[in-house]
Amino acid sequence: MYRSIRVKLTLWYVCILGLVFAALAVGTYLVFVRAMREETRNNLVEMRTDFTALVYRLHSELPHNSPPETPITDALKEFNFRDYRFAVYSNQDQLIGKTLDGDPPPDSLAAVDENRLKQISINGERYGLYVSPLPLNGKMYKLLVLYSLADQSAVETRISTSFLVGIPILLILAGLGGYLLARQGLKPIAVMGEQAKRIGAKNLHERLPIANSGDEIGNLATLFNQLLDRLDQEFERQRRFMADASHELRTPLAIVRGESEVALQKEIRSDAEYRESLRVVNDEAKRLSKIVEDLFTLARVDSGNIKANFRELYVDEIVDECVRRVRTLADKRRIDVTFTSEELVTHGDEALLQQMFLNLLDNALKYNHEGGHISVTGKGKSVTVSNTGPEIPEELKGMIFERFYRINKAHSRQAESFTSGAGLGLSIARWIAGIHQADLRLTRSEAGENVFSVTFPS
Amino acid sequence: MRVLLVEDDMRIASFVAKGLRENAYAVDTAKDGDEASYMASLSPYDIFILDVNLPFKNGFEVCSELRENGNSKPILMLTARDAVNDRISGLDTGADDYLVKPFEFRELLARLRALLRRNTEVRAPKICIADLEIDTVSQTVRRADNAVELTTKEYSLIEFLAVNKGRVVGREEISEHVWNDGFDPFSNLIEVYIKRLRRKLDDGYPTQLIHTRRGSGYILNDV
Repeated sequence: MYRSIRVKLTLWYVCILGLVFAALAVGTYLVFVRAMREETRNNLVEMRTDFTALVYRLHSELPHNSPPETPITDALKEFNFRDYRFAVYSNQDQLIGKTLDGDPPPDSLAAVDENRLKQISINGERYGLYVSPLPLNGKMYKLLVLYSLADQSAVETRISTSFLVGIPILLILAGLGGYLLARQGLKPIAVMGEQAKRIGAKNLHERLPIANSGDEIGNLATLFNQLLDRLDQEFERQRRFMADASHELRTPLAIVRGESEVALQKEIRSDAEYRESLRVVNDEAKRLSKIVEDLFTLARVDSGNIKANFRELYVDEIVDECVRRVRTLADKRRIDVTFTSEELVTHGDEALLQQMFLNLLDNALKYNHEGGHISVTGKGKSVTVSNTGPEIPEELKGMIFERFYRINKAHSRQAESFTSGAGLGLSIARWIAGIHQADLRLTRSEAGENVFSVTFPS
Repeated sequence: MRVLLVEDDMRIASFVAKGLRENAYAVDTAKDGDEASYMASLSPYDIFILDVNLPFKNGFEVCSELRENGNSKPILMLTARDAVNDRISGLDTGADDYLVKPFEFRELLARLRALLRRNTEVRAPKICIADLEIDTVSQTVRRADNAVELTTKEYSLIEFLAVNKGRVVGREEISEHVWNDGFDPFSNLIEVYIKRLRRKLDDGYPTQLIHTRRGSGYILNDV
């Protein structure tokens, strides 16, 4: 649940929105409170000025023998407001008179400081307090003007309450909206997921739906489809390989089974007949094991699991050894093999290079005619193997290195050889050349002669 | 029964032909599609065995060509490919049966027998004329419950006469269905074999079954 992108997106969205709302609320609240305090102070200052003016007026109107505090007490009587309270103290903090229920806390008297608003609490009620000196008759008094903050507190509470209730509601709504938006936005992904679930080896040709090719999700679907294309091709290649491989294995198997079954269907046969059947069975069994070996090599090639043992070696020595090995077979068909080479040193795997040259020589032997010749030449960094034989048609030149490809399959199976005749020899040879960074190609096929060359990196 | 075996792989053709010959079939082989079409146009084969992967013209093409030319003889396709699509296209181009390599040789023989039975009037694996009984599966012949030892060729001949019982079959027809391409039309091989069959099957029995129709051929019946 918490792993779903929809939920994650929504949670992040709500968190960020919550922070923004909170900052906004706190800011608004602070600005508001500040403005109210400013106003309170101004009102208090104004009240003080009015009160002081009244005291002075009363003082000037009163006869000279009246007690000195009379203007103050008279003024206090006159200043009877709902929200404002007044108290006057002597310089020795003796209460002269007040319109206040209860006493302000003693420390508040200390602040006889102009332009300062102080908040105090009397009998559980909050007041804004403004203290200022009141000189009268050569004596100093302290005037305390108080303003009840009950209304202000109510407003503050209402504001904070509405924020505290409103913000969560807003966040819940925003969260819901965000979730729905995320779900809507991610819907193509869910659809893609459903389709992807259905695609397997059996229907690899199917593709994901592309809702809107322009956006990120459409782009992702396109990329997935391209991946599926590549997988499909690879799968098809593997399938073809399997089909070809089983075809190649079936033929010798059919011969082994058929030949032995036919030989056994008659009770008595001559020794020569049995010998012939056994020879056929034996040949096919040998061919089978060669095919299996080749397929095994290719399987290892495909899985990249082949251990090449690279070291400095003389290619000319390897070729010489290979030429010697094919001579017996060549002699049987009166094919003349010549070999000349310069010294050719390279970095390579001896067994693999040997296999490569044997495959090339085998090819030269197989597609040759009785009494033809093969010439192997090493020059510089290249070894060329040329043989007499039928030319390879132009359109087939690209195919000869393909697995299981044979120009004339009956021909390639009949001739006695080192390889399986399953059409894997050149394909394996090219792969071996590849891991040596060497270039193996058919360089010429004309005038009854085919030339293959391997060029090693210099 | 005369078979045309079309197979480009000589090693397979060799054992199939050998096995079939030992089972009283007259076998000719063709190595490619063109040769197969040519040979089919020359001789009246009783049945065709076609490989699918052939040079020049593949088995499917040879098959549909045979059918287009009005040849209704059974065709059995033989191939190393066992994909369902291959089997379907084989049967759809007019083949009667399909066998995948590697196969059991006895199965090939059984399928050929079944296909041949389907194509003749006689549908039972056993053919009886009076007290003569020919078992086409075990390839044995009995006359009045006595087993008769016959060579492969002798059996082929009596089987061919039995399949066509009550009908006169000419020398040419016999040579075309019982012998393969190697038959010399000027030899008296057929007469020699008929004589041997008479000695083994008719001599000593009250009813003669093998009759000669001078100038036209031979007939097997109990009249």
